[in-house]
Amino acid sequence: MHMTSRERFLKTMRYEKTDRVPYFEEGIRKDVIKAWRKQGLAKKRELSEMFSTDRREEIETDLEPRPELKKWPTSRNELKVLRKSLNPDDSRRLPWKWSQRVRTWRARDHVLMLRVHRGFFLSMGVYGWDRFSEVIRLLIKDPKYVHEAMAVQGEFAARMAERVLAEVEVDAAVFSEPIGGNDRPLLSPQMYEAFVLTSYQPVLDVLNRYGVETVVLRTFANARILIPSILKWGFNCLWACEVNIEAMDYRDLRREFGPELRLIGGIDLDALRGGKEAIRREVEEKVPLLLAGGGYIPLADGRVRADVPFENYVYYRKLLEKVTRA
Amino acid sequence: MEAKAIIDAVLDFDQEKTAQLVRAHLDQGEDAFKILDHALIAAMDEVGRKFSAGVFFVPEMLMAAEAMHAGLEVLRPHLARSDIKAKGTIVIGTVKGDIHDIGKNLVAMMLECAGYSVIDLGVDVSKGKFLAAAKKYQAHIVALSALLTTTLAEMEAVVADVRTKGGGSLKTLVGGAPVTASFAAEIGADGYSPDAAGAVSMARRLISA
Repeated sequence: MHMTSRERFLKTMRYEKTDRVPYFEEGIRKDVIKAWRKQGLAKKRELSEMFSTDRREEIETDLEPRPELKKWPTSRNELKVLRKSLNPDDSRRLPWKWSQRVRTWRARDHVLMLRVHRGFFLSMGVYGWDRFSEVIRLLIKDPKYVHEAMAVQGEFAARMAERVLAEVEVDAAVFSEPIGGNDRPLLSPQMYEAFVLTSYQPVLDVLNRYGVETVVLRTFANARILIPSILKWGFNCLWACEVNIEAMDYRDLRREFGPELRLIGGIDLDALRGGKEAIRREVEEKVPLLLAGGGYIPLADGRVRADVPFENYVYYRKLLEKVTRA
Repeated sequence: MEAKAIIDAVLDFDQEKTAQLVRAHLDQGEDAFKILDHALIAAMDEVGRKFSAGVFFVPEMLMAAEAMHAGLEVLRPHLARSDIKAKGTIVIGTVKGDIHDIGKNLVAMMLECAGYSVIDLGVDVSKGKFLAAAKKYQAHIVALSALLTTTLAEMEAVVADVRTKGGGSLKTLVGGAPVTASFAAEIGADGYSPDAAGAVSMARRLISA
């Protein structure tokens, strides 16, 4: 039984039998490859030739206000500026060479995901402290404004998702949510539900209408206490990046939330920096247990950067293949 | 003094009421230092407790800090006259290569609210600047923040620099999304906190040690 990457992913997310687990690449950039060339990665040799890899692509539409806002609104009266700058009919918001790419995607074998939302803080224009503290103040002092601003973003994201889904069938939708602090999310679950998840409803409705089976929340740092809320809203997959691994141990999450929550990631990137023993422990202690439950794609919990020695990466990938094929 | 009303005003995030109550206490001849310590700082201690207990999150903490600041502004001229020293001096910054400031600013804000003099060096701060500022301001603690895993090595270098050149009494306090207690111990930092409220408790412990 040989499967395409797409079949493998879809079946994994459906808890069905696969030929093997999907192996995604960890977003390795050119500077890492350059560093690894000096550490033994042969010239012109691609990582995908060395290890089994399932190609994964994300459709990223332009969800930024256009033209860029000089000043983000701070009151409901000013929201018309935001509304005007989020025009879903603007064809420039679709990826380059759209029609051609749609044709290619229709005949694909690889995994295709759609990035549907940039999360609360980016949608509110937070790129630094000044706007961050402004938004925090508004959450308390003018909650109606925040509700309305998020509703504008939610409706826009829903229309953008619809534009894509009308032409392409995707394998998963991804909400990006950089909301975690070191030990907890920046917002309480109550606030997250009231201000954020409510605003995602139009997007979730579109995904439901187009039959997108896997709805991923890609979080950063520790967002654990938000999981019951996201499940309630219809998310069914968590992809936690750059986490404090002890607080977001996938084995605990699986025990607590069961098969309702599919999981991507969960392997501590620190182990890859650490050395062979740390890698062996991390992979052997976690992966078989999670695989046995199904609905899991093993992956390092963040982008592999140049501080991971090539030797460690090779050991990790080989071990991962050995453990997952056993 | 009756501190409860001021504490409640801070916990209600009511800047106007906090300032008004502080003014009223001063008008009644209350000692400025007492108002600071028993009402405003006490309120922020309660905020810290609520944060640690998971009742308050960042929005509530920040709003309470702003209410506390409103009261502090009323007190400030009186505090200067009474020649009261800060509880300690803390130099803070995000390490070189990292331009994230939200976590660092939250910690700085909470430390200020707890009565420390905070010298904020900003983001992308080089190793030498931390030590130079610590010496210039006779700091008790150098507090370091990092969000990117790639800048953890820089954090380690600053900690080493402070240990070797900072004299025995200068302490280091580290935090940030990729920083864990075990990493802090590994690089020899004197203190670690996973959040802004915890940073205040840790600073207290380090300065009193």
